[in-house]
Amino acid sequence: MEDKIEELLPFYVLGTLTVDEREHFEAYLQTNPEAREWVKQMTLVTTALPRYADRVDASPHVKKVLMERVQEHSRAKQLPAEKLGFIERLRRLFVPKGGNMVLPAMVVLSLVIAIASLAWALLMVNRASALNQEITNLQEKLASQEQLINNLQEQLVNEQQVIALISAPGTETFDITGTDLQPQARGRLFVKPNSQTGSLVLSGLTPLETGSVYQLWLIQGDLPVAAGVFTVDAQGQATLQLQAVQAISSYDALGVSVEPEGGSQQPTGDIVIFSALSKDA
Amino acid sequence: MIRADLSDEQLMRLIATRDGTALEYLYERYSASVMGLAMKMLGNRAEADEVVQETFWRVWSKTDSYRADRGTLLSWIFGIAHNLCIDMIRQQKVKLLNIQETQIVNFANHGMNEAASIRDAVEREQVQSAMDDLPSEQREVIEMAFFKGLTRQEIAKATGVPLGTVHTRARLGLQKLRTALQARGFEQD
Repeated sequence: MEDKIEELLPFYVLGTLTVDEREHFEAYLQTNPEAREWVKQMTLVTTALPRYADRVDASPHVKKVLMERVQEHSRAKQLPAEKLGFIERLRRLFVPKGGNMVLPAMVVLSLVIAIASLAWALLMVNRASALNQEITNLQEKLASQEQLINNLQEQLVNEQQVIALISAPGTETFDITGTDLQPQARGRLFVKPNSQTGSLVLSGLTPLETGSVYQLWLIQGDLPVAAGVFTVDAQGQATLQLQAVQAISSYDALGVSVEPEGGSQQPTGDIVIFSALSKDA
Repeated sequence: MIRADLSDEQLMRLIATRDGTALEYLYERYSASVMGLAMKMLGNRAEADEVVQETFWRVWSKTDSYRADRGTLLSWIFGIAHNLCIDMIRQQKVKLLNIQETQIVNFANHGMNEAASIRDAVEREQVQSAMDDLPSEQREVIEMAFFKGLTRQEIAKATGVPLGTVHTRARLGLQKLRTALQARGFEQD
């Protein structure tokens, strides 16, 4: 046997070589039958030595924990993993076999804190999202109100112009009536003599559904000239300022038809107003 | 039905079939011996309890690694426990010089039949007597290595003798102990 490595023999038998020494020595044993025989003989000693210690009772909980571990292991062998309940699988993942609950408790506590933090973060995100949505709604409402104000201002201007026109000396007035389709419709056209502008006040018209508009026509002979599209408010009223290419009083008649949104080149829908612009009216 | 007169081999065969009662009975039979070894090595009851539990857990979970032709079941169990204690010592989970805790010596051999109990007592007496007959410096080296898990270098440092002397004492001590055990009729498993 090699002198140096032979010195490791008793400590190999006694089980106290370092990891490196043991690996080195076991490789040596593979090639040395004499050393293997010596180790084999010494197993009598290593078998005997533990009996040099007095018997001592282990703590009562050791057996209890061991048997619980064994029962759990037996159940796991019987039940395929995929059939185990989710909670049971989680429990086996975190609860060590030794039964020490400190680590599992810390894991559970950490999970609770993490979940609570996540829930709080989600709550805050939802709250922020709700606030953003509220801001968007308020902005839309503000824009709507601004549009309403603009419409009202425009309407006010129209009405002021109408009032100015009505009160102006020499203004001509033409009564406007609905056809059989909307007999309740009526109105009045105010124009200055030989003027290309005028004001038309209408009421009693039926509010139209989305996609349809009323279109005004000034008619000369058989030729209708488009004079603009408009809608009415919930009460069926509209106040319009007319701008024509020639004196309005020179036209023979005025009509209103129902047209697709955007208007048409020629009347295509129901004619709901038709009135001659008679100087005698 | 598990009875006290079932041999270790019979118990192991039952354990291999996942018979928890057989393991329970084996535990009753040998846990005090394992605990005694762990207490002597670690000197700490909590650590020794842990070794006992882990040892029997490995008996249950690593049944296949037991080879009856290489020794008795108790030798295999002692080997597991000894390795676990050495690992604990190496991990510095316990101090090298432990303060020995108060031990409750187990005089009752639970789980053993009368013949096994007598045999166990005789074997302990044989080992005690053989160890007592060793020269003290040789016994000291064996005890420091086997029961305290000290490496040969640590023993040399602790005893203040050259490493070569430690080697000699260990080798001679083991040889004399083997001879003394054989002289007292201690049989290899």
